[in-house]
Amino acid sequence: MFFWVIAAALTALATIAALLPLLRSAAPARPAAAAHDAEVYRAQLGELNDDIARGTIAAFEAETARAEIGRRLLRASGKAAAEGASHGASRSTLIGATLAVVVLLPLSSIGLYAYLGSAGLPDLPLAERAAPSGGRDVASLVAQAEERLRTNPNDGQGWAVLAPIYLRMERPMDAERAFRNATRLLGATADREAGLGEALTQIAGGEVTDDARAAFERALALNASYLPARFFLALDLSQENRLDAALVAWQDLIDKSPAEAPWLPIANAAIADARQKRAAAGNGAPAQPPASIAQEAPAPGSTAAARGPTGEDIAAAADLSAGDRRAMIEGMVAQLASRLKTAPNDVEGWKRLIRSYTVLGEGEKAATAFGEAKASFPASSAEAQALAEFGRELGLSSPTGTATQ
Amino acid sequence: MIVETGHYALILALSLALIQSVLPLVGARIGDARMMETGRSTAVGGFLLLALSFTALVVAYGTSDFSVLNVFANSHSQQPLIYKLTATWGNHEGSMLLWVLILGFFGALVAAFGRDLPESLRANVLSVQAWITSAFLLFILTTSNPFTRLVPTPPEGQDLNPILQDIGLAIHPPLLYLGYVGFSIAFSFAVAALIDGRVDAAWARWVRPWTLAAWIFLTCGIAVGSYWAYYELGWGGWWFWDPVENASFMPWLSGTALLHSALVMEKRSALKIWTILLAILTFSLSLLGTFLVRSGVLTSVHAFATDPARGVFILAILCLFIGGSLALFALRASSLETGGLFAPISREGSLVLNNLFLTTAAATVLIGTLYPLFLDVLGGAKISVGAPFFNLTFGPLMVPLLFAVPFGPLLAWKRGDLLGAAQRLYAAAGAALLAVILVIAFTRGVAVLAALGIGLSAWLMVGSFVDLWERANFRRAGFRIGLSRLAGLPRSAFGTAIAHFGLGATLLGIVGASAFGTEVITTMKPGDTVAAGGYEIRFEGLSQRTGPNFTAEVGTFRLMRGNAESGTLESSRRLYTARQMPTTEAGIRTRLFSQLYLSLGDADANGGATVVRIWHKPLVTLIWLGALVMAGGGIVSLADRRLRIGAPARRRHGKAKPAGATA
Repeated sequence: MFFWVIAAALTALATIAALLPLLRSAAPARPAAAAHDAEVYRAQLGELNDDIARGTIAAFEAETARAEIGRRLLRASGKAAAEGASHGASRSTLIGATLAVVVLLPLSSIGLYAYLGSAGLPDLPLAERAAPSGGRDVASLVAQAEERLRTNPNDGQGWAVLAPIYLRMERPMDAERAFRNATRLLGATADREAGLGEALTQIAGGEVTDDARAAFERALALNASYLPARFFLALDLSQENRLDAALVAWQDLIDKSPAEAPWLPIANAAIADARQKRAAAGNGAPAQPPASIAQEAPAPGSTAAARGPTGEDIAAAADLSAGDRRAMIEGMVAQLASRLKTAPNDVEGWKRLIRSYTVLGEGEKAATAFGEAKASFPASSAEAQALAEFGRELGLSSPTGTATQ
Repeated sequence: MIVETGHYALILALSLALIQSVLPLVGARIGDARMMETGRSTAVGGFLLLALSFTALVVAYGTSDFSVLNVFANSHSQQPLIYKLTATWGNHEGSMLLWVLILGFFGALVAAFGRDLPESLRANVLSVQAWITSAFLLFILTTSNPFTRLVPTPPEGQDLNPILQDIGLAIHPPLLYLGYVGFSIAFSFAVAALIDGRVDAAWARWVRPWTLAAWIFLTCGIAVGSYWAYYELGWGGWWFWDPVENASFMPWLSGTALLHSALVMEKRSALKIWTILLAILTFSLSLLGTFLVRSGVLTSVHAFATDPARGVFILAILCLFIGGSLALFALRASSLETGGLFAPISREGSLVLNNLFLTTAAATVLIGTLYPLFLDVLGGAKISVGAPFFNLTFGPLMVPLLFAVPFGPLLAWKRGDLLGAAQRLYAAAGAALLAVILVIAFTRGVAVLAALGIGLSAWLMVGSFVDLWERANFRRAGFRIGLSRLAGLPRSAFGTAIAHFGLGATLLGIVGASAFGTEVITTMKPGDTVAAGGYEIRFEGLSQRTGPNFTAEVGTFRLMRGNAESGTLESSRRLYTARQMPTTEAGIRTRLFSQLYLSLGDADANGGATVVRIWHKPLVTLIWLGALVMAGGGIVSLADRRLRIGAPARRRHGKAKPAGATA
């Protein structure tokens, strides 16, 4: 609301600026341009006289210069007399100009802003963004911990505490370094290996890479009941489109999870998705419109557990809740999506984004992203063919009409 | 809310610019003072709105507001504050906003200080200026909006390109843009004159200082950019004939030509049509530079993001303004009055010669820059035109021009005496000859070309002060009177001498660094010693350091000169963690005008040896110092606020008759 007050005030000021000169009473007839020239030449003559008085110009030079200016002055004065003064605009022209300013300026500005702007979206500076969840404290604690580690880089406990916090702060590169240091100095645990895997997954923009998978497998070898690692391994199978194995893995995860486990919606969505794709592949029939996935799967954020900021302090942050994990995955996907917005010629990035949406059960977004991806490449290019192939694999068909925005 | 206010202000600035594009122009056409007057208020209002918008973006960067896509993509909460702020224009969207802000700034200056301009000229100029503003604002809002929001807001940004995390980013782009965009004023004046079909007496008086100011900024901007590339990229070069560098060099060349022809026009009202054409060409080259850099046609550190839509849009702007203004020129140029006459051997003649060489040089650079692009578009081979081409074409063009520079100021207006000028240059010739002999005598190997180059720079540096010396008349008038006469000389004469001296200094730096530089590439283990550039350099070892947003491997080197210690030098490899991008930080030791430049290469995997590259570059800093001196000359000349008129020399025969009478 306050924004619109400011916008209105700015618009009013701009309109007044353009309007004020028009509203003045008719100015006296203006001298012709040649008369202005004559003025300039007269001023030049004055300067020349000053120069002579100061002695910076030789007498014969001054003489010729004066002759030259004099000739120009004569010519300009003659012209000025011939040209006469101009009359100015007629009444109707002025009214037209006034109306154009009063009507067009606010209309075009507000119209264009309504199309381009995001009115009502508040600023989200770092300080404010971090404040509600006690993030400011976390930030300063992290800075202190970093300072300590700078002087004492072999403090394994320090790295171990810091690593999961980095992960939550979406600084995956720092998280990877911290997890590796902690493991090197204190030895491997399921937490640390899985954390490393998550960091690597974040770095890859949500894709469970081979390195990440190896880390999760190491975590499970250390602690077979460490469910987050299973979650990512199942995600990996879904991403690689190994549907049967994925179904088994997801089902296994669901069976082992407590009833309120926050990853259950994702797991259910992934199972539904895998089943549907398998059915589509088996029948050879055209795939269902992807929107149906979204209907079957619970909408993201519909369950209380899937979201909600946690107000935990540093120690608790080390034990990352799965709600955060979901939020983190969504953040990761958003990050990827925005990167592709600025650099759309990245086939692998698009594939990763589409796959992520599918896995998250956001079929509509997947279809939109698929369309955008296809629009980013010429139809005949190798990239476009690779994308089409990829779309068939995932059972996505984007109707040709809606492929481009 | 600050962000959205900035966004709205930007849109409002577009609306206001559209009004400014039409009303003053119509007013000038039908001679209505009220409508012409709207140009001034809208120009100032538009600038204030742009300033508000830009401030909003700076605030978003300063507070790391990652809900703005542009901030998210180019900033990081761990960056030091200064780089958070400079990151505002360290990216495509923000830099375009800066471009338009400066455009608005110049427009507002014309509006505020243009009282002594004829009203119709001022109105036309402001309208033309608003066309450019509107086109670029449309471009920004439709293809590169810096205020696009990002929801949900990510907690961390993607960091600024580490190469740009340098104080150079705070200086180089604003200076360069002040230069590029400053030429828009000359362009607007030219187009306004063509629209009106007449060139007012006040025209040249206005255009020359504007051009000069833009030229000063551009000169500094190019020098800073060159030095930045030199120390940041870590390979010791200061000019690569890279298309992006050429893009800024072409407007400089034609801008320098414009500066000199505007001089003729201001003082003698000659060369009017040519000056107008040059004004159009110079700004066109600025636009072309913007297009080349911004469209993604060229990929380099400057091409922040490539997007075909932007390229097409800028190409359309380019065609509209360059094609439109040239078409207008073709239509109207013949109706303009031509100015005064002059003999071939005269100050005017020498400035025409200067213009011929400079524009040919600009054309050469243009061909070298665009030819590979055209070849690529036409499906030919991918070639790159590099230093060899420019050395063979640009170099030979510059030599006669540089040789002729000292003659110019010694020739009288309207008709000059070449022989007399040559006689007065004996001191410069002597200095040049001495320099050549000294260089050949004291260097081993035959470096005749280098010796001639140094001779040429001595000729330039000494020759540029001959005019002052002669006018003060020390020899005949004695020291004291000479000094007082020197003090009485117009500042513009000093400006000319200083700028030409700076040119000589730059030439000396170029010749010194390229002909006498030495380079050593070697691998070193801690404790190893190598000799380069008169130093014994001992590698002390590598150590690890952590910066605010990077980790660094720092190599420490101890320098010995003869047997005396002369301090240590550090050179490092940095890894910026957010982007996982490595950079090198060269270690530089300056001694008088020469530099020792040390850069770390890759470390050997086994055994702790590391590749070290060492350059010794004699006189290298003169390249940039010379450019700064040139800009300083420009500033001195700019301070000369007199109404200037060139007094033609008296005819040698027929002393009773003033020269002007025959014109």
